[in-house]
Amino acid sequence: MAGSTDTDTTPDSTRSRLSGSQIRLYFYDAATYLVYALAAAFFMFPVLWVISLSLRTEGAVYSALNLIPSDPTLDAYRTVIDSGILGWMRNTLVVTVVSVLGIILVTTPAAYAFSRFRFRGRRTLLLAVLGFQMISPIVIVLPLYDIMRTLGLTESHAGLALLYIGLQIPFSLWLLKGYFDTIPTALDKAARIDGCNRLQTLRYVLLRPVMPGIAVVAIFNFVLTWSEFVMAYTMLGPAGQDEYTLSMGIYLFDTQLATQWTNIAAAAVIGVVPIILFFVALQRYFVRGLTDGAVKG
Amino acid sequence: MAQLELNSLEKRFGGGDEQVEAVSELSLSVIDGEFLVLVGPSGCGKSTTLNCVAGLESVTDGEIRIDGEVVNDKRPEERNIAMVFQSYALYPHMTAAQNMEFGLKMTTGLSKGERREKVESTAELLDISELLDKKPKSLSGGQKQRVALGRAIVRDPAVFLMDEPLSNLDASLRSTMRTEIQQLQDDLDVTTVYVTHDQTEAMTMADRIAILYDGELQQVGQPLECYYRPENRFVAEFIGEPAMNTLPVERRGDRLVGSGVDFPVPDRASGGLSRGQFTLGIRPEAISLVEPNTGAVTGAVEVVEPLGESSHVYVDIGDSTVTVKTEGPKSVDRGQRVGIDFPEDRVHLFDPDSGVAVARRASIPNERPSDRTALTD
Repeated sequence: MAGSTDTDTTPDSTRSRLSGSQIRLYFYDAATYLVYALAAAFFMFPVLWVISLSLRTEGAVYSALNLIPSDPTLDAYRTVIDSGILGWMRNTLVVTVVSVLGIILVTTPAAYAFSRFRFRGRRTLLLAVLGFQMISPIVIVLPLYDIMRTLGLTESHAGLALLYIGLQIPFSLWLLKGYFDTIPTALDKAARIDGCNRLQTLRYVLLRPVMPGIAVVAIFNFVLTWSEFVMAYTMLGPAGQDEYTLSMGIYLFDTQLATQWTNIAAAAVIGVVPIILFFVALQRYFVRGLTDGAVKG
Repeated sequence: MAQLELNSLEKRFGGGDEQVEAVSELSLSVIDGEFLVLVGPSGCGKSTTLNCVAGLESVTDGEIRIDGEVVNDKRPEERNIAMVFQSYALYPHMTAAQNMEFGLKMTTGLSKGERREKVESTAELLDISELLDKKPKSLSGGQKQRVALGRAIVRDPAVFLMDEPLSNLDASLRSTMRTEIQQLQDDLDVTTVYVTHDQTEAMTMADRIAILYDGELQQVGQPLECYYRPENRFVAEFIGEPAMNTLPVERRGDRLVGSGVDFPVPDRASGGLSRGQFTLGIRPEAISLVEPNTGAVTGAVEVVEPLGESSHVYVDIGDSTVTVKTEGPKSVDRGQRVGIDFPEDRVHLFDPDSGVAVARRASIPNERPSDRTALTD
């Protein structure tokens, strides 16, 4: 009743002020969505253009600048599948999965140790790791090739995966250490009181709360490794085409005589599907604050 | 149940020039079933002491004994202790039941059924049975703290360690939980060490309190003993709300003079008290307002804080301000000149350098056993 009385006695001027502020709110909302739409269009356009290219004939690549092809065809898809893209994707998947698992396996306990233990040289080691990250892989690709050849690890998916693991550990370590730092040390203490040793604390208590961080590391490295070209080309170049990764396979469509844009576009579209699937599978960890309720916020 | 002893416990962090002594030569004995509260300001070493007892921090020197056995080198789970943390520290991915069960799973050979049975009976004791299937994020602060208590109780430990378990709760819930923890400790009769910086918590809950400052034990005793007979100036000022008034005075003949005060040397102190400087201490609730120029000191009212049942009156006496706790609502006005009466038997005297009490109350007034919260001097 009180509510209705309030409504009834609201002066007209107040009502008009309220509706005025509501209009402003609607306007702000509309403006926000407009900015979102423009940003989305900006980033989506190249993707749509690649899809559009993949559905054309080679002759129609330059002839028409409209987004929707006038005479769509799946010829490019047939060509890239016949060229062995599925084999390249399988190779890429093996290298990527092994790399991502390796990176997580190494960086998770390392990040835990850097986050939780205070040992001599800790800061120096962390800075050294960061320093290594600042060196571009291009700069060290030749010495790396030399080392890998000496070890007999060139022309090998395992060798390439090992290289990716080594190169991606520094950034992943820093990223994951940041996540561990956000988890209260009270959880470690409680686990120790409950009878856990350090490894059990990591395994049973901290692994789940740090899962969003591991998901970020996994997605970041999956995308990076999946599309990496320079290292793959250097290490696997002398091997046969059957051993190629996806990025190397796509490069085959850039021949000396012509660049086959529709085939490159079709291969790119097919190649991006696993990344999207992987992201969708793990993205829930981004939004789930697993430490919610662990300790007083 | 167990007896806990700390013998010359020392804990230092860091090394070389950056070494910090967190706990210094701490000796304490907590008897079987006793509720001992470690109290002191932030950084006084109370939580470090608790962590040493728990086995979460190594001991630099000295020894910790539980039931006579030295446990310095034992891992936390081997010490038969359980701990409750300020921040609850519940595992976020586990339900309340799993949180309570986890310690049993890791440290005992109990079957799943036996573990579940223990969890359920503990949950019943704490009235949290309906929360067992919920995860921490869907529990309120009070519920989380109950689950954290349950996690400790279910282990059936010899010693309970509680590290400021109520600090994150709001005032009304804190008061309720205070009573519940006391009741629980009485029922379970488990030796308990409870850390807090809140002197009200310490006074109302403890069988005995140990007051720490700068890593050193200042006094250990029953709450009212520490309140009425503080061994030094720190304890005198730390225990009691508002804090004890302290004024620098000098003995001249049979008078104590200074800070606007002119006061006879208390009879109980006159014999042993040499000439020289002292710090006079008197509790705000021990003194009363009188007509100007009739008490020990006269001054002007600076601020009045009416609290309903009582008021805090701050009186400017020249070099310093004296706080007076008066009964009832506001009775004086700002700027009004008032006298302050110092009852002779309530006066404490401290050495100005060491802070050690040189004259304090002779005895503790009769305490009603059922009323541990009574603080009227």
